[in-house]
Amino acid sequence: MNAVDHLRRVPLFADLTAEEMVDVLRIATVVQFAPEQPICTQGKPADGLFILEEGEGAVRVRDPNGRAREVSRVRAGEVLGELGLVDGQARSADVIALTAVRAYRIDRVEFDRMRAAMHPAAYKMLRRIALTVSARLRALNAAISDQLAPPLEPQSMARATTERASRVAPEPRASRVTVDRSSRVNTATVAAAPAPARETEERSLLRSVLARFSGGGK
Amino acid sequence: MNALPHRAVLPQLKVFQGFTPAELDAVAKVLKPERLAPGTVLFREGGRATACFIVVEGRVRVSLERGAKAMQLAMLGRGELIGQMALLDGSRRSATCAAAEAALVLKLDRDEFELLFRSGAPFALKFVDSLTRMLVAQLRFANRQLTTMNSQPPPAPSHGKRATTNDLRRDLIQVARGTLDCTVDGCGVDDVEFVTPEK
Repeated sequence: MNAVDHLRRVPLFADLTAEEMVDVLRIATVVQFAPEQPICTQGKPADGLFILEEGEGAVRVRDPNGRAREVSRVRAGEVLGELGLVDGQARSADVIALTAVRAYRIDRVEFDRMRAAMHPAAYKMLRRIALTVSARLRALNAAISDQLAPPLEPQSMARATTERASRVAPEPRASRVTVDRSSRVNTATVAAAPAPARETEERSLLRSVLARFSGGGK
Repeated sequence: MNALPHRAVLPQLKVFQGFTPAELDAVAKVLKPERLAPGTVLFREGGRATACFIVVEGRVRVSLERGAKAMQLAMLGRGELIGQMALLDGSRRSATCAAAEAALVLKLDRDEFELLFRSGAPFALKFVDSLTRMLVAQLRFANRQLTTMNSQPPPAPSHGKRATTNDLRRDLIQVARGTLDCTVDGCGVDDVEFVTPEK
């Protein structure tokens, strides 16, 4: 199979016609990485996007304390660095080749030229990137919303409210919901009620949000 | 050209920065103005998304409804967008939006927009470009917040536990607000409150 047909199977290029794919390939170069070689470095300005053709890479995020944590893997057929292609900001993670990696690289400056020329291919790619980003934002928002305001089954609503009230029983005035139109109640006030045991619960809340988010896409 | 009444406000809205006058004329034609009385529900959480909205006047409340309770996530004002992700992916609404006061919004229908994008209308291409940039910025914000939150060491026992719990909830709300299907500019965390919707 030729490169055009092969690449059009990648979701990022799924909306492109064969002719548009050829135009995008004109600004693409083939790059190779040996095992352990960095493909992207966290903090460095993004200069392009990669479509992995062969091999596997590890995506690692270094926190402000310098600890690295692997958040995902990228494999053949997957795309790296979409955010950077859009805004050219610093890479948000390291990507290290785990095996020999062969990839197509799309240069950001060249891509911007296509965009400035109103080439439909550039916008079709942007739209695909927007969809990927939306899916991640939705996954994260759902994870947080479910934790902060768990969905209630209509029939079990009354019971759930009672259960929650009894769970925070040590504080007689404990109430997550304050209906008081005269004084504005912010969440700091609202959440002031929980018993001390709640602390670990809150940490696990954060962990579960993070876990769901990491699983929500790359 | 017969100028539509809402055409004049378009150049002032952030999402249309960089649009030519001709492109703004084209945008004005596909945007449908809708006047909302206070309390009018624009859409409910879980509903199928068919359009996105731009607030021109008044304020729109974004909330999660849980039975008789509602948790307000944000209050949107002039120039802010509602449902831009839905315009792209057509999935279900992730929150409920209602006019907090008399408001004027501009509606952009998803099917109509899709046709214009496919036909290569320059304003539709630019709009996608603008939305993509906003979404990327939202995701970067969320990523940064979560990374910072996750890297903070667990509090010392002497540090008030209540305060940390609140901080975490507040931080999460901040992240949630940044990941909403709307743009939220300059909203303080204190704007978040639990309310019971008036019947």
